Amino acid sequence: MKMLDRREFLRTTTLSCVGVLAANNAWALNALQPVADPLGSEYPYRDWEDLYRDEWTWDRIGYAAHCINCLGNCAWQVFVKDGIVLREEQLAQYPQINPQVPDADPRGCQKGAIHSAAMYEGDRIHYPMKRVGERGEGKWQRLTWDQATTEIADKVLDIFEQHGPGQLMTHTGSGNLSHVRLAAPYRMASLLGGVQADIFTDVGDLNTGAHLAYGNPMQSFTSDAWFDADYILLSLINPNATRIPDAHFIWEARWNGARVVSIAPDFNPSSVHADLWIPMRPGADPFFNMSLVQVILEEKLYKPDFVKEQTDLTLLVREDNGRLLRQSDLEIDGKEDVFFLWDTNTNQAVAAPGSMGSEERSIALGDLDPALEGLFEVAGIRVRPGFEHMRNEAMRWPPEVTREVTGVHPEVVRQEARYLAAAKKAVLLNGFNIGRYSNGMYTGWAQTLLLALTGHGGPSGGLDTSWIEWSQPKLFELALFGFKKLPRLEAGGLGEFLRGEMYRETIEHYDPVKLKERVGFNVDELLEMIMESIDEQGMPYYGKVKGMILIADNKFRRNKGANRYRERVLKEVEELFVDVNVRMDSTAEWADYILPAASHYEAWDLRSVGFHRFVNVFTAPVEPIGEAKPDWDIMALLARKIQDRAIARGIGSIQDGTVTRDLDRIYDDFTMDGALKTQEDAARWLVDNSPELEGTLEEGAKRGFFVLNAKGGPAHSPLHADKPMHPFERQVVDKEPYPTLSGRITFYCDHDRFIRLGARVPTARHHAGRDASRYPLNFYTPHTRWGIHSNWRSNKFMMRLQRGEPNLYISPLLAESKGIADGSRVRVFNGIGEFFAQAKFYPSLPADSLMMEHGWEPHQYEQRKPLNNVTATILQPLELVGNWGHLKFNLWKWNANQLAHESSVDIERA
Amino acid sequence: MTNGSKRQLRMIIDLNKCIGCHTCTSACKMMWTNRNGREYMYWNNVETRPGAGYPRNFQDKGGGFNKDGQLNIGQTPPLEDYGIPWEYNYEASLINGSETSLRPNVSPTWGANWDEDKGEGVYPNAHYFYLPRLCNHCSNPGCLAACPRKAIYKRQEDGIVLVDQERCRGYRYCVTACPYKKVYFNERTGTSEKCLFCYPRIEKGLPQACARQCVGRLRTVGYADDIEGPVYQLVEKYQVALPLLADRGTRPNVFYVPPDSPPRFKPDGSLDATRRIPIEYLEELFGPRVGEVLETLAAERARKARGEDSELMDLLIGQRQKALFKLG
Repeated sequence: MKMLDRREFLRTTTLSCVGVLAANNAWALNALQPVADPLGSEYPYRDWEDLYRDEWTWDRIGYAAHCINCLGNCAWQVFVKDGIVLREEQLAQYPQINPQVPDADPRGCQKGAIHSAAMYEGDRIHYPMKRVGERGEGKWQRLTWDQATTEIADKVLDIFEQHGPGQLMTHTGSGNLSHVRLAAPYRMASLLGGVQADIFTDVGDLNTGAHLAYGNPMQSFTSDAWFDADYILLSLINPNATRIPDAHFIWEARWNGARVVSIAPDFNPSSVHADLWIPMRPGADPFFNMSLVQVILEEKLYKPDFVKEQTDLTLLVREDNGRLLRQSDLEIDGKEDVFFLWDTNTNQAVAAPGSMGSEERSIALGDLDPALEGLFEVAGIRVRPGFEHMRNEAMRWPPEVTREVTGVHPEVVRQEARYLAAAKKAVLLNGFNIGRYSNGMYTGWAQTLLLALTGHGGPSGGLDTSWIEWSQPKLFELALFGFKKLPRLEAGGLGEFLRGEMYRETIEHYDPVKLKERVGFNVDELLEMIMESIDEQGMPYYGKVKGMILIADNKFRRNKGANRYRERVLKEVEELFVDVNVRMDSTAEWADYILPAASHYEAWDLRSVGFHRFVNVFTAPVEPIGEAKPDWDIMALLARKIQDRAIARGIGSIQDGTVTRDLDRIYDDFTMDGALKTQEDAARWLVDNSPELEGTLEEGAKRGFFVLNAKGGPAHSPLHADKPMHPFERQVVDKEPYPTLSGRITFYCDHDRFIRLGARVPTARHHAGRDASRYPLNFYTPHTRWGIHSNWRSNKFMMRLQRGEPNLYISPLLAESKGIADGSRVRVFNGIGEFFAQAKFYPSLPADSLMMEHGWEPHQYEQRKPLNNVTATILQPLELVGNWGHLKFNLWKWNANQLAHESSVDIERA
Repeated sequence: MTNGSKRQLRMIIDLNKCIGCHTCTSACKMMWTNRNGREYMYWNNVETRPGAGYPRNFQDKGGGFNKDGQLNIGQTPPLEDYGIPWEYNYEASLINGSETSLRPNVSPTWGANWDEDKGEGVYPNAHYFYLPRLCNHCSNPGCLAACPRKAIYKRQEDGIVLVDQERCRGYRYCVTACPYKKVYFNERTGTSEKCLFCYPRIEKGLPQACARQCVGRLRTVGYADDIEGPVYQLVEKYQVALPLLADRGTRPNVFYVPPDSPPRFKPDGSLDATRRIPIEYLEELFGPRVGEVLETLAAERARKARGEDSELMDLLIGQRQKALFKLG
């Protein structure tokens, strides 16, 4: 629509009136029919009402969810007319699981609700394209699929021939979380042996504190289980903005009598409905949580039975060296992974059942009554239970002491500790921002301790880490080529930090002395620990690569150091950069080749990732736009070309460690010898073979979703047909060991690095923040309600409900001191970079911090300078340890996060 | 004054459950206003309060009836106060070159959610809440009274207020006379348009797009005279749902359960027992009964916390989404 100023608006109006009147042949104003009483009597001329009725028509309805990195996973009806999607509406047909618990209808959000417009927006990629100018110059030549895939295949083969295997990154980002879209590129990566980074840690989503404690960081409740909690604590999560389809369960729980408390630096959209908002200084969370622990201990509010059975706090620790007492300390050939507790019934040390080395596969204590306190002697070795070490550390952090760091009044801390301890079912919700602070692991560890002390686990509540790992064996069999060959799975945050040389900005930004004071190490020490982790502790990093194929990964939007990072990576992959994408995002713009992918409504698929048991079905309601293809079809076509060209060039199997890369039969392998040629074939294969799904793809497509059966339940909990799911029910109720070294919730870690950094037991530690550099303002960049990372971030319907351009949240008090008005253009800067944005007043924010919701595309900023230009980051070295039971590299479970909220900035009016 | 229609469809919006996600706004946008000259309109919007709202400062633009029942013809908001539906240079910025950034084609002045999350107050005692707004399908509509052509009418079977798109000649008195500024002028058709309460859906037994697509599950829809229905229970029996700006005299049929808010902090950081949203502000919007309603809600919620039953809380929880709507 042409934009008009007001005068034009009125003038055009007059003209268009004339047009309408002429068109309607309605000049007969004088013959207007009389209306008696339009309020109280029947209006006589209602035939016109068909006008709007006729706008609500369609040819057919299909189903889809959105295969994107959010935890929504919502079934939508997709209305199609003349081959075009007109609109979508939530299906809202999920069955109620239990009559006492609200149903899950209607799942969805505003972004899903406008996808029918977004899929036709001008940023969609319609054809395969090849760069004809410099990278990033925006000059493209349209190719046929045949041309594009032949050229790419030859370049892939060139890289194999010239450099050997392992020189190609084939990375699928977090944007593909539906089954087939995920499986297709992972299967390709498995066959090629390409580098695939951990998508949890390369975006900073991993709850490492939860893994440290429980041996499993993926342990959400189904969101309906929040409903009957009587205490809900929101910590580093803003569910009203980022868990839109699930948030209602929280506020329905509140009407059901629950107390809801929100802890956040700003009075955020979730805090507005809480019973209490606790203003937390950015990054101060470990201190607050340790104070809650301190109050629980001081006031003896803890539950000894739960602690003795479920935690490792009973395990005996040697007085001489601070290590856990192991069987190997006592017996020749004794195990390193069998530990001891002191049984007060028999007054002797007894091997604790259920550890990794224990033959007993239960943590039940039977007749044992382990001591939590006391000094004992075992074979001449003086020992005491870990509980005492934990308590000694926790007692250092009473709320009166931590107040200076957190800004929270001690009365508030004490009050909430008491509420939590008294709750029958307490749920502590974490979002993904916990992983984006260098001390997030400390926060998570303190919170798991808090929950264990107060007896919250399984049916009585516990930690919700925003992910459920459903049991889907066939999905991973498909994605990882039957586990016969694997991609080069790489530690995500670590890989980005090294490959992108982010440490250069780290060195530039932080004051080495202050940094060490804040986080416990300086940059030199960090780099030394990183190298030690790679060389000695099994943290995989595959070094520089020659080429890169990216799928659903907006790398150059996300990574810290932004434009500098981009230049380094582009230089590294100078031989080939292919981007498979639905739209021209900030990464696709820099590619050598772009392959257009089908959007959510254009391809068959299934999706389970979410806080519920419903596996949504995508029925490809419309054909892909232009020449776009579903991801599976793209990968199959690429495999076909690699195979054909390998045969033509005489390239056969290439040895790659213990496996071969069979480039001359990669298509046959990819498609299971031709059985899975298309995305629909793959979706059908999954339904037919997956034990957790019942019925056929057609039956699912008719309904719009499957309901996971009991076989789909996660490792830590059964999935009851009529009850919400509670994590760790198998441990709390059935006494199965946790997947940890001790088989119990871990609060004592005697790994060398944990000891060296003073972190054997949960404690409080600072993040870097403004006190580690010379810039005065904290800068944090939480998730937004307006996008899933960069998806839909630049959509015009979403932008019109914001301010049309990237905006920064600022306290009016700070703004006034800097001469900044609401709506002013501001420059945010530090030594490593700058960006410009519109200032937006946010009285809920403290004056020492700036907040900017993340996900804006770099190309949305003036001069294309994005916010990550000012983010210098570090890694948390504790997240990089290996060789300690469950602390070893584990995809999506254990390795170091890329951090987002560590740097600091200054601001001025621009 | 007539009582209006024979039956009246009503909507209740529980502001304690509104998460400000704008799914309702987006649902309405795709359902009705992404085309045909309606692009600038938000028949449904969600605005952060306190704030200037949408269109900007609409509360200061008159409309409605004086105490003596006389129609108060107000002002027409300029397009800048609605917000120009800006476009983006997707092709020029992203597909056919990369010299320019992706920017709006006009300098945005306002929008349907311009003051998102802003509110008022001073940290740590700032406050705000979300207020979804749509046509109130009033029992005494200002728009209807203002129309010189009698092109606005109230349907007898459901009380939905409509602008006859054939009879309307775009005089726009309705735009000015609506105190909620929920009638919009369409420059392309030369007619005024507004929320239809989704009558094509209602006629098929489906609730409005904004209500059915509301993922916070805060909208309840039903007929005023259905004594068994949730709307009657909330408005008449428990009297916890209040109309917006009732003093404008139009007798709205959209009602709001007013928002609770967390306590303030004293200067030393200890808790102050008062709610952070000033009661006076809520009374301005929802009338003098706000305090009473908040106490009723607190008392019923306390019953639930003690393990007792509360029919009111069950109504607001809404176990099954389908039960929120009673259109029979």
